[in-house]
Amino acid sequence: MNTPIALTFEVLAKSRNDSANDVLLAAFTHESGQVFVESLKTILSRRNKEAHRAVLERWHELDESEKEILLQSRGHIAAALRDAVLAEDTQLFTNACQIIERAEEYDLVPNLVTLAEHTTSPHANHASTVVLTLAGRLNNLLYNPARPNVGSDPQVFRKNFLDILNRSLDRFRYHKRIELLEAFCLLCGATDDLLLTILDDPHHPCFKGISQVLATNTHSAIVHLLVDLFRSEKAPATVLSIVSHRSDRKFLCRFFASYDQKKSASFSRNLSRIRTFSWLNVPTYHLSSFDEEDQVRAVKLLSATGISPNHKLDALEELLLKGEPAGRAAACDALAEFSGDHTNHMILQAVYDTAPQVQAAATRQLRNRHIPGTMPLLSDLLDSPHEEVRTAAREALSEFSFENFVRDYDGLSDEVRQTTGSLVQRVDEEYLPRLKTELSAQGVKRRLRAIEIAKLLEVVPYVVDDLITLLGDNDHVVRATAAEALQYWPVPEVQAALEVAAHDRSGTVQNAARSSLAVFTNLQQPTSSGLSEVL
Amino acid sequence: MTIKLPVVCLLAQFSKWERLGDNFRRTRPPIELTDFVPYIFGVLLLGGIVAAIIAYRRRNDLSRPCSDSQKLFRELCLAHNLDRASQKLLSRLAEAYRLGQPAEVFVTPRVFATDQLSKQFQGEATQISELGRRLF
Repeated sequence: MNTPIALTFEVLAKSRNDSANDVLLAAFTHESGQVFVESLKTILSRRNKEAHRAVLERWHELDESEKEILLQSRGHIAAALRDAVLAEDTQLFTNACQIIERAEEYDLVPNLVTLAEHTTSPHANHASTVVLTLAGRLNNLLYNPARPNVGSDPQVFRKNFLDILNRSLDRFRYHKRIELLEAFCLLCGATDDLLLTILDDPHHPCFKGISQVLATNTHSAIVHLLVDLFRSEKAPATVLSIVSHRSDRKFLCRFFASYDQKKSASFSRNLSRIRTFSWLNVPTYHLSSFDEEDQVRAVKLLSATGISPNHKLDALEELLLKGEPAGRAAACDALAEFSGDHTNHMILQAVYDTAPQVQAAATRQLRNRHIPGTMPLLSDLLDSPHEEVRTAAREALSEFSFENFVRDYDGLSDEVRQTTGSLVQRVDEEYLPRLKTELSAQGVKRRLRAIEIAKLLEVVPYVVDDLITLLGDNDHVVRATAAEALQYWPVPEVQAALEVAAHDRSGTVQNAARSSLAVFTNLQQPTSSGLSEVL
Repeated sequence: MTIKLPVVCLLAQFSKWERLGDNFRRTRPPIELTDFVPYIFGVLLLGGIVAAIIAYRRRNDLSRPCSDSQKLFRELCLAHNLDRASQKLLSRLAEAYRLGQPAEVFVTPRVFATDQLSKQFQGEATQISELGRRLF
């Protein structure tokens, strides 16, 4: 059931008697209270411009909840709002602008743009600021799907807004409102024909203004636009120049992040056209001053540019000394394309870095740089407590593979065989399976060489089954060599196999088997479990 | 040329009818203005009745767009079921407090504050207080 006061305002709301507006305006003169709030609601529910204007005049006096009531009914006050925008009363105009901004009334953009272009109007500056704010809000609406929809398709707003701004840009030489150019940049996108036309024509009235906006504005959308322009196929030379001269952190971080996006040929080409970055000369913007992720991106991006090697080297050196671990590692990787004593020195320093990833990055380059004295260093790094460093050392010494060792084995002296074999064992993690493969290879010579390598590397216990199998080989030399090699692992299974071999049809094999068995008797026999312990 | 018998007979009787309209005037007497007075009076009376009906209906037709402060006052009184005495009292209050129009009394609670009543309303404080409770 309605309260009496609610009934009164219900009658006033529904009445077709225009005198109700005067009554409501009288009620609206109250400072606050139920009558005031109800009169506000009722005025907003009626379609009367004068009453709406009275409400707009007092907007700045309303509290937040009352302002919300007004914003909820913004559709009813559009006409009064339009009049207020064009009003000479500064307070009324200011109130209207605040409402437009809060309610995001894009329908009033034409009026505001017209006012902004009116250079003699005292409200022109404010109007242009509101246009810019609305453009920012619309941009936010377009690229932030989480925001609630304002009731219509933002793309429609954008199209209408851009149409108005396009026409305004035609008149730029008269009004020279930079804010309108900014608003245009906030909404146009990197493929906009007018934008590309302006940027391609230094004589265009808007060229200087647009360039200034792109070069100095830190709004996310403008930064985004600049990066998108840079990535585009038809990136104007002006854009390359602006990108190389911008040195604000917001842009740089966004620019670095763009490197992680899908690479395009045009992006790589445009990067290679960059000859300098102003920020490299700004002391506060050393690479080490960026976040760890950005340091990595910056290094990759820097490497892809056409900046002089000296500048790149300076930047990388600074990062290598002062950057975050991932940044230092990236810098170290990037140094791979540089040669010379100075770079070698930096790499050697990086080997002793505190971060394993930096050590690993430096280790990978040691071998290719042919720095004197790196072999012992790499050998030491094979025993690093950090897995990634050991892996890097193995990569650096990858030529010391079992495959290469077997291939060159016959040409090596005994001493070299010993040292190289030892290194191969540490570098090639797959040497045992490969040795087993060699022990079962087709050629007699290969099998004999494999048995010799097994003895040399002292890995008989690991291939004992293969050697026992070789006791039944077709070739008596192989059988004899296997019997001889088995003396190094005196276990019952081997002894049993050798006792069988002692009755081989070949005398050489019999002798070798007996010789090994004789060794057994002189040794204390290890248990089978000993093998498992070794393994 | 021969004249047939029936025609001769008719001509023969013509003299009988010849004097029949001698006592009637050939032109009508002139119409005097006073002749219309009863009619005009009747029409005016009818028009007045119709106008009165229309005016009455208009006065009470709250759905018609208009700009009439008295009508709005009546509309509000009707919504609140106020009797004639209350309506009169409200009207007097509006006048006493110099409100822009009588209907403003429905949105002006201070009018019903009994401690601020002027002398002329001191005797009606109870009714005013009761009215205030009914309206707010």
